[in-house]
Amino acid sequence: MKKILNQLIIYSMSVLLMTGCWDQELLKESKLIFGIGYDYENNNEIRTTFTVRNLGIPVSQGGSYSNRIISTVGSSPRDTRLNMDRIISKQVTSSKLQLLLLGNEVAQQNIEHIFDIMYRDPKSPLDARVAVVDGRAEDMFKIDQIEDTLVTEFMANLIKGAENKTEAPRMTVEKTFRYSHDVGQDYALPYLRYSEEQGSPKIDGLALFHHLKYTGINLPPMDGTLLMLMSNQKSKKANIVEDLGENSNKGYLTGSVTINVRNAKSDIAYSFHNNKLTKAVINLDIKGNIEEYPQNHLFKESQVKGIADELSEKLTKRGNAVLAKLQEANCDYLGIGRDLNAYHHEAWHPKEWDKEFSGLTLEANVKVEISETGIIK
Amino acid sequence: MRRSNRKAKRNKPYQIPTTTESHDAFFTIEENKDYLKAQFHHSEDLKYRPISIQDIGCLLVYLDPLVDEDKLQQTIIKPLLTKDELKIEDTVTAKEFQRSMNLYDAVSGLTKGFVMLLIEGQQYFYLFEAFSARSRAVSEPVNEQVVRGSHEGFVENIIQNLQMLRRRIENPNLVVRFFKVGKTTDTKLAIVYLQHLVNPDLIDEVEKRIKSIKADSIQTPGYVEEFIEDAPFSPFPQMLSTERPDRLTAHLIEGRIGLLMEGSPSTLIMPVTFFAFYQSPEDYNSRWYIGSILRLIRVASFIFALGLPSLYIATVSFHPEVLPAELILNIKSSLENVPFPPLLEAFIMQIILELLREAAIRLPGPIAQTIGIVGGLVIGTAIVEANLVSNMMIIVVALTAISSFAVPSYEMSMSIRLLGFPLMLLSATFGFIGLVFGLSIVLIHLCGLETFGTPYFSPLAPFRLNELKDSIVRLPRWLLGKRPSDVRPQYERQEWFSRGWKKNEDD
Repeated sequence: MKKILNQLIIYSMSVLLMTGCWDQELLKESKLIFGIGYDYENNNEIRTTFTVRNLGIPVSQGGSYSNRIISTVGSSPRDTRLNMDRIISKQVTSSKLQLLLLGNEVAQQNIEHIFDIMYRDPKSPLDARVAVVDGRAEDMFKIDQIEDTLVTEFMANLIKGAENKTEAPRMTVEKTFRYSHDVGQDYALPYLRYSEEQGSPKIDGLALFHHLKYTGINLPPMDGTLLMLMSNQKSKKANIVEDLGENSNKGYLTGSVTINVRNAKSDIAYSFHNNKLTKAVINLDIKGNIEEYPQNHLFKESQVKGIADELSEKLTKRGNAVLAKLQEANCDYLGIGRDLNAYHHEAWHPKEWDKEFSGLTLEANVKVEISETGIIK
Repeated sequence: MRRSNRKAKRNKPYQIPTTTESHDAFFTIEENKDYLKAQFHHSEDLKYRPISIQDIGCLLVYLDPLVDEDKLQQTIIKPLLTKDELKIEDTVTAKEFQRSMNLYDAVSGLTKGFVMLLIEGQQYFYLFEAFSARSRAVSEPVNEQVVRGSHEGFVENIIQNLQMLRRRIENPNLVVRFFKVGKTTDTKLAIVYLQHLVNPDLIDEVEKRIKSIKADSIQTPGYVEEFIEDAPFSPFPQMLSTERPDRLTAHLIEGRIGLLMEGSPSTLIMPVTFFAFYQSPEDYNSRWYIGSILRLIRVASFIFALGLPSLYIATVSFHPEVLPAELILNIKSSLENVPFPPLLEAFIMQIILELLREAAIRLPGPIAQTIGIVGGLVIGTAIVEANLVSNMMIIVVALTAISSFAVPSYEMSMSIRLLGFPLMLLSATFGFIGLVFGLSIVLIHLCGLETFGTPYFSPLAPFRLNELKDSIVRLPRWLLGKRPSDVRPQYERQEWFSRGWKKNEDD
């Protein structure tokens, strides 16, 4: 009994004392990276911009949040990270990364070379948002503050806001990896542009990607919404603004109608010929409320029906334009290839899919139904 | 094992003589008196009152502090003198008497508040009960207060306590067994239970364990607890200590055994489960969903009190990436200028807290409040401003302390807070892995623990879904048809369709 007790004491003491703090990573000893931006420097080098959070005086004692923006050049993202670590105090950790920006030029190269550093470290932040920047990411981070909001938070929240309004898909580091390696499914990242008028970044639609590269083709925000509705990705809210009627553009505030999409359902019908997909029709049913229509009170149901029909027509036209752009970019955003693989496997030729997709006949067919027109009007 | 095999030795001279020893009485009062004087070592509270009955010299002997003066006058001296007869049995009206020739009986009787009557020329003598049963007034126990419900609490007098119990259970099956333990103090212990309900094996086991106590004195029920509990090295209390008659009654009716002790208002209930420590009689006075919410809050308080500081330490020293981005900034900015590692911070705060608690208990009420203000507010603010401990740590430790005080049982609250310390060490050395291992060990221990042959962690281990109704939540009384089965009572059902009127109403 006594022997066992002695052994127990020796073991537990050695477990506690000999381990010490072997893999401790104290929170207070770390520096948090909140945003990373990658830019094309020249053939062999990459420029990485980090925003690192400063926390000198606690906020509870009158301090304020501020960023330190560091930009380094190196032969790879890890190399730039190491360079950066040399000019910063404490241990740098990217585990709370919020935003990863890709400069326009760098996105057109193979992005996996950049993301490699993320996919190997178990502590890397898989839910950081990824976006493409018009111009250089470095310039965006150099804005530092927009009024009293730090630019990294500002942009991250901008992207999250766009996600809620169905203007951008929720693209995280992890999702980008999955989609970029999927032959039958392409993706789009939110596109940020510096607005000279506001002096701040803004969301400017979607940047279409094919496999691992940015195609250089963008969709404006409204078309982005339509595309996401066509791929059944409606988020909390979705708004569509469209010019209507013969009076449109004939006077002040006469032309437009805004609907708030309550419900959207999209379905793709395929036609085959000789075990080959020849045509895909995207049938999109939208149910929505009229949120704005200055011209009329809309007392009669026939008027509402008229608006719905005209909207359907216009949106179908716009949908076809969006599909044409997708084909131009060779970006299979709707995941048609994946559908084929799963449901029409005999028509699925993964090696030729790149060529097949741009040769397809894609057709949009949008049907709008108005269910509410407002409380008083 | 080794202990029980040891030979029973003759009692030491300062201990009470064993019942097997005897000494015949003398024929003369004088000799008897001398013997008693010698036995009590000329103690000066041993009083003598000579009287004469039919001209025969008699002597009343008693220990003054133990004897009720009224009883002595009314039931012994007055009848003896007015009747003036030697038929003692028919004269004295004391409720208990004994005739004996063994002076050892006299000695032990005198120490229990008996009055001894010696008659000149006779070898036998009489012992009459005249015990003074005064005790303090019944009041609500300070550490088990309730808002609604009985405000009665046990007192230091075992007879009065039994009376409170008998008043609550007017049933001939309520059995009281007295035991004398303590070779020097000869303390009176009583176990109470409901015959024909309690598992007979359980009674045997409890009696066996109490009888095996061999000690000079039993001063508090805590002594008994340590002598008879199954796992003395376990951090968890295995007997429920209560000063509330209603709580004891409720457990007796579930088929458990209560232990009362002369001189102590706390009684022990055995065997109990872990969840009994989280029940309060109040739960049954409020509406059932309020009672259920309170129970759930208490279960949450157990988890907080046990794991919160260690969870925090593990997070800020090993895994800060699990914190959301907004939260990490707040925590990091409060930690920034603290020179100590999180473990030390937690220890500093916990020790300050325990010191404050200990100091506040020992002080009279108004000063204890001052300590609370000085300690809680002043030290709390100053220590943060001095950057010795972070804001977050103060919040964590305060939440831990509050959670542990939400436990209705004082011992359990202390045990849990103490159990937090090894967990903190583990999480400071191994992070979440250490914490998980520590909690697993605690869980394994809880599942394996048995008291008096019944599972301690019932109804979770062994799992009995049906009994969660009265442990983690409290469902309406009419749904609790069966008693908890962990003690294996002889009859399971405790309620038979009390809401039967509801059915009849529709007819």
